[in-house]
Amino acid sequence: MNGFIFSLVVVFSGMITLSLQSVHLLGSLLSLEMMMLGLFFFYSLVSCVMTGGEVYLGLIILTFGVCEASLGLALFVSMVRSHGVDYVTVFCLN
Amino acid sequence: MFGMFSSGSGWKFSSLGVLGWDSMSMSLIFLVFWISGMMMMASYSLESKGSSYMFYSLVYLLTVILFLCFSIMNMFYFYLVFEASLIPTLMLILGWGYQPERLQAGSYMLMYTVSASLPLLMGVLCVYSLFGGINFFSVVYVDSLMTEGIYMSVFMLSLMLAFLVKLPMYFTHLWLPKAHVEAPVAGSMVLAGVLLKLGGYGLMRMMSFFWGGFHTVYSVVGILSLWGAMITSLICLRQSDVKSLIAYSSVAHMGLLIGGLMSGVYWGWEGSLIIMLAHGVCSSGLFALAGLSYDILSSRSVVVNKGMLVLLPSLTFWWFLLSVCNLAGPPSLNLVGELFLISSILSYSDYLCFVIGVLSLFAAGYSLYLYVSTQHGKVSLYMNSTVINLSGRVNSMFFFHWVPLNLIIFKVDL
Amino acid sequence: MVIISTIFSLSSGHILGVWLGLELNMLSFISFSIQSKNFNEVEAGLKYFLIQALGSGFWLLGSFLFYLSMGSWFLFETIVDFNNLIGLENIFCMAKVIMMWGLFMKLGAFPIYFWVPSVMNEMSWFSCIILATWQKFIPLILLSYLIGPETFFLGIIVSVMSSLVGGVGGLNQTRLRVLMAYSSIGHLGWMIGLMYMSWIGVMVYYGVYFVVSLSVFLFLWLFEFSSFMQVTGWRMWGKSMLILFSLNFFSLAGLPPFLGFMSKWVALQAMVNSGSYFLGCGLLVGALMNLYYYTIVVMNVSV
Repeated sequence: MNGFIFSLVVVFSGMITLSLQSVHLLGSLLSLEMMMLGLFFFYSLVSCVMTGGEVYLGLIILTFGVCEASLGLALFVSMVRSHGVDYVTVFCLN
Repeated sequence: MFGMFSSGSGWKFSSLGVLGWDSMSMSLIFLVFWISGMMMMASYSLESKGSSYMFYSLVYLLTVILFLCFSIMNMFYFYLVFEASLIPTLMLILGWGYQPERLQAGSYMLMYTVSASLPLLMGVLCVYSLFGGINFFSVVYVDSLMTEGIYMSVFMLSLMLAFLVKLPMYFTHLWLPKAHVEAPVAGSMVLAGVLLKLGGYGLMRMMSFFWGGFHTVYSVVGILSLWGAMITSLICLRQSDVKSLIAYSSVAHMGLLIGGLMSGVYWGWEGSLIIMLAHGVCSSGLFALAGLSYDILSSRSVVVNKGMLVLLPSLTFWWFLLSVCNLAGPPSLNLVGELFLISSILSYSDYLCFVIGVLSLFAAGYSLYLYVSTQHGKVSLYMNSTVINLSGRVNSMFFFHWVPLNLIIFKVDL
Repeated sequence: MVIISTIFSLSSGHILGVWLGLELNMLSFISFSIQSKNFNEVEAGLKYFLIQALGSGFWLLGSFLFYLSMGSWFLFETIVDFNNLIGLENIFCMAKVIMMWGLFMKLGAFPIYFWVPSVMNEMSWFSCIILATWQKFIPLILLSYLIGPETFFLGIIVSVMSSLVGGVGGLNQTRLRVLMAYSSIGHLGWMIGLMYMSWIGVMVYYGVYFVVSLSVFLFLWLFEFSSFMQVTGWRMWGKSMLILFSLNFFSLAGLPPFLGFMSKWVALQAMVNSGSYFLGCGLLVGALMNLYYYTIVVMNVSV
């Protein structure tokens, strides 16, 4: 049970830091990653508890999490190339 | 008592259960065709401007839509074509209006009419789910128990609001003077002549659909609009714009019409129909006159439109006849209608005689003001005062406006 | 790729399969929307990416909770039997709400709608078309599997507020893309509200919205103006073109004789039949404000 709560705390803190990140874009990508890892951890616990839970699905989640992160990094790089900084504040937010 | 109009003196004919006519809708359909013919004649000068093809197709489209509107029996499809009539009118105002303010006027008209008619859509769908039928000729008997209560009031009001805005009732009339001032001649003619009558027609249909109890909403609406009509006839006296004056005068007439309709007496119904026909032809003629003056003088202001008697003696004749009709002078259809309405309103309450007295007095006042201020006086300095002769086309157009006003009086049991 | 991922996502019964489809959809959409390597488009893509990643994170979390409570991965074949769920109803409802939340985030419905205007403002017209029409398809369908009486209140609030926000937000806009973004939020509100009444209605609404907004967007794309400043007036086009343009806008607003009215009609009919008058009234107020700013666009074009 502690593991469940711990992983949910990781997921939610990842979401909250992603939402409240206001300085560096890299920080928000990192918190996104943290959220995905928390979800992976949560899923491994779930698959242990439930009968018939398949562990290999966790690998798919992990794979797609990495895929997402690499897309985020690619966008990040091209953003830095075009804007010169990675501050969230350079976004035109309207 | 209420529904007698659609069954008593009239006759009915329906085809395929979709279209149907009784004497009320038939007389209004004649009005539609009459006015659209007049519109063609009045906007003859567009021929030279090159955009006449699209203009005439819009007018034809509008005529067809209005014909359908007066002959469809299903309430929902009626709503559909009722709204559809807005689009060609908007196009007429936007495409052939005079000033840049026509955009504001057009959006006023659109917003007022659409926002009032969305409750009608909800109401029609509610009628369908509550009563199971939305045919105009089938009458729902409403118990006196059902007519009480706030929900029923909101329901009735949502069914009537679209037509009250279209008529327009005082408080919801602001779009009308703007639209009239900015519209081309044909646009104001059809607006005053037919589109306002669409509101009256819808109101009568909705009220006859709920045959039965007299509802509190009726008295509130009727008295408010009579009061508004009195105010409006005072407003008319200080208008400096000829078209705006005529527009306000039609608000006043329509206020009287709503009062008579809401009094719940058969004479009120008969009078409403008569005044719809009379006012349709009469105000359309007045707008045509104002448009002709605008073509000659390039102004609608009563300060500039002076001494037309010197310039256009034959036009003065038509101004005189139509102004007399507008103030409900003796040999006109307006007189019959107003008598019917006044007697029905007085049968509702005697205290309203004060309002009606002021209203009739000032109706005479502003019609005379309109006539005198445009025809008499000195000609503006910048006009060279040579007498202009009107063409036969123009004369015949005004003749056709005037004829039904003074000839239908021989046969008022429509 | 966008199309294939949509089909993948909708044809899989497994919740994780749906999630995979959503991810693929996001990846492919971003990859073609930033093709021109424009300064702005990268920024728009990044914003879109962050929101969508967060949304699919919510979806994933919700689906784990769903699995935990139901013991099944299959969203639409599972018969919810509350007798077997003693003690787990709360988790089940929470799972549903979290999944719906993720979908609202992906759609850009009421509480998290701010990204839609700012993303659409910086994208090309073609990406805007895809974003406003096609990208709504998967989340809407998934949402329709999730709704139920226990989330009625949430859905109604989201629907009415999206419609109102879509109306108010566009009122003072001078940029056409932002205006279209707000209008798409408003239509989204109608679809979410309608979802509780009738499934066929949503499909009709979506289809009509697709066609009409496609034509409006194509008009705007064709003439490539991004703000009112560049609209030089109808004399450039001719009167008949102007009339077509304004009729398109009126159709999007749902004025009666046009196609757009069909969707409003179906929606209102369903709402009145199920007795939710206040929902209908709220949505109509939003639609009126939509009509108001469409009218402003038409008037500005026709000067």
